[in-house]
Amino acid sequence: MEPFIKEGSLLITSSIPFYIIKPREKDIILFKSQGKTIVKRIVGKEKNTYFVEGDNKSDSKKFGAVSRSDILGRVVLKI
Amino acid sequence: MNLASVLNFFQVKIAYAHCDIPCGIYDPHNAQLAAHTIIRMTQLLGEVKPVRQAQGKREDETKAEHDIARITHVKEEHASLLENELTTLQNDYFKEEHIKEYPSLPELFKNASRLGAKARQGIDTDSAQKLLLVVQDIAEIFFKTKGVIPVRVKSVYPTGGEIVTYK
Repeated sequence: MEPFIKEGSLLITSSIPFYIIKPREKDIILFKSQGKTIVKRIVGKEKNTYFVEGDNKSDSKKFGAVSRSDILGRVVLKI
Repeated sequence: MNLASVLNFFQVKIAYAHCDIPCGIYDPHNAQLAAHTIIRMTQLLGEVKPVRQAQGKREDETKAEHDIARITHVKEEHASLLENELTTLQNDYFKEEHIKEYPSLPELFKNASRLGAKARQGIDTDSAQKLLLVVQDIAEIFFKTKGVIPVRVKSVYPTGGEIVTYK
C-alpha cells in the first residue's frame, strides 16, 4: 500500500462509516481474508462485492472480489 | 498520557497490506525460461523467409506475416512473464538485508527492466542475450540467499547457453 501506507504505519479504522454509507471506490478498507486482516483500496464494485487493489501496483497481484460481509471497516486515520 | 497508553486503551491488531498468500515459494527458474524463449523467438524472427526470396507469391507473403505475428506474440508474452517473475522476486522475496548483502541487486533489476524493454521493442538478439545474463546473475544471488550453492549448467534448449540452478 505504499506510498500512502508504509510498513509499520498505525491506522485507526472504524466500521461506523459503513453503517451510514456504503463502501465506495477509493476507500481504504480493512477486510478478512483467509484468517488474516488485510488493508487495501476499493477500485471497483459489483452488486455486493468489491474489487480491491494495493496502491503499490507492482507489489499487489490481482486480488479476488471481497464480499460486503468480509469488510471490517474503513481506515479513517493514519498516524 | 503517552501514545502507548492510549493504544493500550484500544484494540490494536496487525493488518497486512500484502494480498498474496505468504507461500514462501519463489524460484528464478521461470524468469530464466522466459529469457531463453525471448532469445529463441528473436532468432526465429530473423529466420522467417523474406517474401522476396519466397518468389513473391501471395501465399508465401501471408505465411511470412502469419509467422511473424505468432512469433512476436510469443516474444511479447514471455517478456511479460519475465517482467512478472522478476517483479515478484524484487518486491515479494528480496528484502533489505538481501540488498545490503548483495548491493548490485537493484542495478540488476533495473538492467533487466531496460533490456526487457529493448528485447520487446526490436529484433535484438544482443539485448535478449544480455537479458538472460542479468536474469542469471539475479538467479545466482537468489540461490545464495537461500543458503545453497548456485551452479550454471548447460541448457538443453536450442538457444544453448546456461541455466542457473543449485547443488
